[in-house]
Amino acid sequence: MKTPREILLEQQAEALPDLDRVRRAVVADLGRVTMTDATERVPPAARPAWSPLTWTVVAWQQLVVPSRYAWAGVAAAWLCIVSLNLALSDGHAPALAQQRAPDAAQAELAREQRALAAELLGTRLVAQPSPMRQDRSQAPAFNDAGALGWREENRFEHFV
Amino acid sequence: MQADIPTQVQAARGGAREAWDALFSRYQLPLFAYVRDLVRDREASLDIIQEAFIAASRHLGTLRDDAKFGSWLFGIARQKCVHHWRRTGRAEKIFDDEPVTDNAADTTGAQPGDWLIAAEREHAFVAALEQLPPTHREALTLHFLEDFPLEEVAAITATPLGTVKSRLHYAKKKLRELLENQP
Repeated sequence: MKTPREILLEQQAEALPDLDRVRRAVVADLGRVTMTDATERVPPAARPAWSPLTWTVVAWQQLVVPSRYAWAGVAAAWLCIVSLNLALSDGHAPALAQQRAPDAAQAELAREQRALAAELLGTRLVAQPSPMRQDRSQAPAFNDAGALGWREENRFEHFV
Repeated sequence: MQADIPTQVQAARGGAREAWDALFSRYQLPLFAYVRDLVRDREASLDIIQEAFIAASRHLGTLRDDAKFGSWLFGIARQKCVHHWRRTGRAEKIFDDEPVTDNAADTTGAQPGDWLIAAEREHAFVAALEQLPPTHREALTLHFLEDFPLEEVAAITATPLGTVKSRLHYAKKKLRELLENQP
């Protein structure tokens, strides 16, 4: 007759050598316990070799699987947004996109209008030159007595 | 003569490797049996045992009652199992299997030592245990392996005390039924 404990332990007894190895490794490492991750303590031989496939599997298991419901929710929300957007749009392209590019005749007309405008502007400039562009010698003399007098006074005071 | 658990825990607090070795040696096989029953993977169980030992050696300062070192270590291992389930997406499956039971307390009073299984019934016993829901089997395994008090089982499994009592009650009842009905 055996107790349930004895039966349960006997079932796992084959793992004792491995458990002893694990225990000895942990105890031997006790003196130099650092804050490294426990997975770093696994002997390199026991770790799977790195490859893009293992990396993808690990990333999938650690990033996606734990939050799969959240990811599914985000995907569903995006699907709703896209379907709503498609359902509410009238199926036509925007007005600007609908306009055809100007043909050669229109382009020629626009070029002529620009040339005419430039010619007109140039004529006006000759007829009425801008005061800013006048030579200093051609500037109107100060005929305003008040303004001249004020200038003379100021000049006088300056030299006294 | 082997020192008792609190004395070994005290020595381990002082950094005595022999004490750590004795403590781990004492719990390694029951802990492995418990963890393997939870994760159902031999290599993953060994990894979890290693992680639990390392975590215990790092966080022994957080253990308040040295006499509860065993349940504390089992609790650490169970947390590692939960992390493993989350990584592999098994957590919901495990806990969704919880059958609906009322909060009936364990009134059988049967101690683990009261269950004596004849050699020819060992396989039937293991098969019957396998038929229990995972949460019930977990409570019963902790009861059988270490005879932890209900409060400590509740702490290990992070479950209310009433739920643990109920699980243990129904697990024992179901196990007896299964054993009686088997040829």
